Amino acid sequence: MKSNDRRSRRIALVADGVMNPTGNDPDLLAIVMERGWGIIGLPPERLGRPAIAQWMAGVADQVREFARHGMTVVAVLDGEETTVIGELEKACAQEPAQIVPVHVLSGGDGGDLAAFLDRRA
Amino acid sequence: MTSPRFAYVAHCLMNANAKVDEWAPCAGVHPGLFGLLREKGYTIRQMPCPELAFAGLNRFWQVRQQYDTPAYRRHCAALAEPVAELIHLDLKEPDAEVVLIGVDGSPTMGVRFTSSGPDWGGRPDKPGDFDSDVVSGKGIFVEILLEKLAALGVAAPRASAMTTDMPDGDEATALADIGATLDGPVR
Repeated sequence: MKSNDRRSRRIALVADGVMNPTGNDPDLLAIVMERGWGIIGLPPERLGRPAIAQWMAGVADQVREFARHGMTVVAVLDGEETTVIGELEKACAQEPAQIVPVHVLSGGDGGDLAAFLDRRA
Repeated sequence: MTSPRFAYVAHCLMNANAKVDEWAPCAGVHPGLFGLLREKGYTIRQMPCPELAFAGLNRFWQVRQQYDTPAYRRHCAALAEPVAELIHLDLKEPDAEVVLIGVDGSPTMGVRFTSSGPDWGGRPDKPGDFDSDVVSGKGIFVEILLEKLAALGVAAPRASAMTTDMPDGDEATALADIGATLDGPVR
């Protein structure tokens, strides 16, 4: 890399609820961004299983390529989005299988997310 | 109550780790664009990076002609399919608006300008860093996405782009143009 290339080599897969907070939810994407992580935004649950599965196949290929080059990849998921989580797991289980550390959102101000990211930075 | 607004953003603008080697302008999420999208109340949708999975992280900067192969078009089509479906779904919300934010100068994600070099074969064979021109046109993924939207009866969304991959690209000018596009036409 050139010295002026500023990539962090850290990528977080993030649930739609992280990308797009609603109401008074904290802006978790700002927490991810401020720490220099790049993101792979996951589709919303309402897209439906067939399209989500197709979307996740592409996500998993990207994850494999980042991991192959020694980059850190994690996932920040919404436990209620069972289709998104299930299809992501299936796609990442395809050969070559890829294990991605997961943080499941549990409400709060994002302090637990910040700690999760900081532990893996 | 404001209308729901969705910005479909080129992957690398939210993840600079996917950029062609040597071209990452920030650590991860582009802060200026992120701030703009939040300020204007847009739901953010991140599109995939077709080049990353196809040509890998160590790819060099290529022109549209190099990527314009049947295999790459199939790859882009597979990635564009669920994106088109989600745009179609988002537009079913009453008064919803969709905007595309691409990367002008990109062979894949350009929305107004793309790179062209019929003779360019790759960095190892050329003394210059990048023997190509920027020409009017769309990147291959954007072109295919618009075709898929048209097949679903969806008109091409209004679009803007970062221009940091352009020879004279200027971030402030690009963000101003993106901001105006996000605002939409004066009604």
